[in-house]
Amino acid sequence: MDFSKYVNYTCERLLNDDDFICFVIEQKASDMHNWEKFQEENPYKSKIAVSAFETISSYREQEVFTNDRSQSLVFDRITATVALEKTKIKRFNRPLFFKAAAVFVLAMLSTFLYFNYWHKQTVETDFGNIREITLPDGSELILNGNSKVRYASNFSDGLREVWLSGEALFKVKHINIDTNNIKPGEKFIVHCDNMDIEVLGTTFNVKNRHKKTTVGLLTGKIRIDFNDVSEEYRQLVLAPGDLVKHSAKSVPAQQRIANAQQLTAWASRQLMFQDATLDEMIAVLQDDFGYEVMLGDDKLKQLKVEGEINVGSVKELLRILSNTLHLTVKTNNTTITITE
Amino acid sequence: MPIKKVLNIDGDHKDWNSFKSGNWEAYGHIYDAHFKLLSNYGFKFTKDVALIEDCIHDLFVNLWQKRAQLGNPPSVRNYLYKSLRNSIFRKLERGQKFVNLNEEDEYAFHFEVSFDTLLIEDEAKKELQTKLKSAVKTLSARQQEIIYLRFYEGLSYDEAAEIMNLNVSSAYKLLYKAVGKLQQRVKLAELMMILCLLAPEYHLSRIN
Repeated sequence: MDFSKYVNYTCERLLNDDDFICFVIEQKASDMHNWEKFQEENPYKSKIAVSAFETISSYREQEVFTNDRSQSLVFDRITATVALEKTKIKRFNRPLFFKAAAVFVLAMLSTFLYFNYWHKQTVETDFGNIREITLPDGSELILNGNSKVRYASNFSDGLREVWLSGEALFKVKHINIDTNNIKPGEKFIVHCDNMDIEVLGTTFNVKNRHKKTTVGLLTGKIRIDFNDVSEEYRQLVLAPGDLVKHSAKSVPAQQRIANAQQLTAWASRQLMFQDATLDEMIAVLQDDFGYEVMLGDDKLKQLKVEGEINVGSVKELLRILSNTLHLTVKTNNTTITITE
Repeated sequence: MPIKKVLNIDGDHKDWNSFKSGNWEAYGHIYDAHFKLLSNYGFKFTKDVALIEDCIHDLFVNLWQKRAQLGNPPSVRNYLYKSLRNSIFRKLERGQKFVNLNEEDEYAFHFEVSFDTLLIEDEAKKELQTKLKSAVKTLSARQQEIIYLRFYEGLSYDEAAEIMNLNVSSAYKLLYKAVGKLQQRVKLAELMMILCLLAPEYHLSRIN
């Protein structure tokens, strides 16, 4: 590239010049050599060009947002949507033969499923014991302490079901796709005592304790079918960042996840709370770790720790409680006594 | 630092053609080659990451479903940029309470690049970038966007105009104004001062 023509350019003109911009962006080695020479030969007249060069270079030093973490998750969602659309389109004008075939396949499938019921695996965790489980289809789930999950030891084609009580974080794998031929979306269903959650490749947290279920969706899309509410609230589709709480016979309450890290902190063995009352913390100590907590006075339940707590062990949590709320905390095996 | 673009035009078109004939793997290649670029471009319009992800999702689902009717765009990247931009605007508009009556002048969306001032070691360069940063802030959203498309993405006038739905002469006017404004703010005299500080570096690089 020949720079001599730029000797008489104004800065504006340089900044509007296609070739010049391309040179600054690419900075090819061959060009750089000529660029150096051009400056040596025109020590003063090249100043303007150098300032234009520095301006563009400096502008290009900017922060980049690539969202790497979500790249495969978004593609999973795309895959699922495309697969779903495909099955929708297929539903029209099917000849009778196919309908009959479908009934036959369905009968086969139910028989198969029926037999599958005898081949279930159950994983149960003790208090304070977190387990990572890989399901037969490669989906992962992290099971919190004092929780139980049941699933078929090999998933039959087209249906993946998990029964959960307690708390678990799911990372559901999308169905592998062979080129040129997308299979219809295969379902993945999580059953709790008061709802079924239908999934298409996504990450979400389910907490089901004391007949109360909380579902927080981090990525992807899920549909919840409630089994114990009136018709109008029967179904709910969640978008990423939605949190749904549901207990017996009430209308499901939908809100936004205030802090996603907090929702899943337990999975990395962290205890995380935000502006939490003592009552909320005791619930976790009892449900996840199996401690029995005795309070000197019921009024203590309402005490609140303002701000964020983020600790790696029960011991640290108790130390914070005694320091910030000025309480006396005594631990004896699995019993914790808290008094003023 | 700019994203390293690996834009292999031939490979691009090979993938595009086989994707159009229904090849899922080629479709995946196109997605992988553009996801980061699209995320970065979208992030200039909104900081709502979930919304950007939704737009990319919709864009690609739509692409797959319409693949039989697609033409051959000169640049796949620019075609996707334009679609993403439209999709983000539509989604943001839905969430807007106010209608912008003065559309001639300015669209109601902001466009914002954030600079890496912290990572620059050289004091003089830091100084220059700080100046540039405050200068860019005074530009309108459209001016900021066309500067970005030209200086960061390295697009020609025609390409930038196509993405921003402008005709080429208004794109030219828009950019000229923007560059003029930048020039006024980052005064030439100051630039010269900064360059004098940078000068020793040039000598050094010549010796080595």
